Amino acid sequence: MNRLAIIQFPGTNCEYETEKACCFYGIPAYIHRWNDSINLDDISGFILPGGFSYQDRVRAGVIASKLPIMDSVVQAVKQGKPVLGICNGCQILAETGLLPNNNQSKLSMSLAKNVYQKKYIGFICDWIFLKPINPKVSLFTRFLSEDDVIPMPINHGEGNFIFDCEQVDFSLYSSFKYVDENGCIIEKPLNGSSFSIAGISNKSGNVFAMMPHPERSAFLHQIPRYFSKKWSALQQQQSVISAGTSEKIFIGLKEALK
Amino acid sequence: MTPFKLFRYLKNIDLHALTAREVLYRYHDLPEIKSLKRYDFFEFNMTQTVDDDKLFFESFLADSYQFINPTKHAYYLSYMKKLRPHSNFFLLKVSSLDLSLSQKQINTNKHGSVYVTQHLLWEICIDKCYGSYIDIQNQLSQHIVESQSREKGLLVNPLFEKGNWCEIDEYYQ
Repeated sequence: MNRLAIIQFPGTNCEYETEKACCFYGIPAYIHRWNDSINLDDISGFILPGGFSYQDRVRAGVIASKLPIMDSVVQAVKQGKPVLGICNGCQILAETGLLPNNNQSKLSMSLAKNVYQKKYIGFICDWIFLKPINPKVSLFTRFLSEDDVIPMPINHGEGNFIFDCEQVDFSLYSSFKYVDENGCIIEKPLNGSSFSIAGISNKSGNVFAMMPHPERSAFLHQIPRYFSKKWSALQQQQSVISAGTSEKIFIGLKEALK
Repeated sequence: MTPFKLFRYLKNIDLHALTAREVLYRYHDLPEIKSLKRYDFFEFNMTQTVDDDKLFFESFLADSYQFINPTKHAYYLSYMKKLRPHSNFFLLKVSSLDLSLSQKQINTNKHGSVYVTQHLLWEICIDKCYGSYIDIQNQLSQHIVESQSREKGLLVNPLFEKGNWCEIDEYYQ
């Protein structure tokens, strides 16, 4: 049976929660060590989970992007298989050049240090709201609508999206943007991300890289009660183990694997 | 006034430099790089002149742990030393595209303000001479400097950084 491979790099720390979230939503997945051999015929797709691969040496994600396992990820992308990059996984995909243009001769996107009011502000650990833009392009966001406002946690020191604007036409991709609780786009988000981008797909829609952690909002009980009255009320009505705010992202992935 | 220079490096193994060299050796096929070192490079500019700037900065640096933590940092002032005297040295200065992010103003009690700009220096040593200095520098530029793809570049991300080669004589003594 084909399974989703969740790649464990040295320094990755979110692989088990990601596997648990996949299991909850009925997605066959397993954790694959970065230096184990791989047969792409047995793999239905990849998730690059969050963490600090190679201790963020030189730059976040750049060392992992050079590894032989990433040859398999690039090949899987060409085959149209789904690939999801979460946080450090998003940084690795950016350094690989797969997003958003899959231009293998020039980087078109990168994640720089968090900047706010013209200063480096360091690591941010907080909950934010996201809004999908052009959700139908990507298989990960196709069950969302532009009216959705989704709480999700962020945990990063280098989440500032920088784009080579000459190469990037945002109308071609699905993306997530940082918004407030009412769905209004935050023009200057806390990490300084260009165009308030929190995640972006490729043109084909089978690759998505996002800085927020969907595996940490896969269950309803993960959402802190102080954060949103609407979701807090929902928590009190439902049982403990219920689908959380990233449900539709995982469902989108599950449907794509059928 | 010429900026005063501080070169800060780790006393123990610099894992960033170690891994960068490993990557260049394994995945960029560059066995010629014998040594790769990393320095945090600070340029200090003062609003007021002092009689002895070296003495002033030694005292300035010793007064706090803001720049030097003696437990883990070693440093050079003004110039660095070539620890491999028979090697070819190449020095790459990596700076943020928005330099204001790397600049700080520190007010001193008696000597006005000190403006500090921080950069990163990569020191690349190559033993074998397989071409002229400029030829080798150009090849390094093509293969290891600006990240263009998985196969090309490592040390600089051109979307938010820039890399410039430095004149060796201005940084070594």
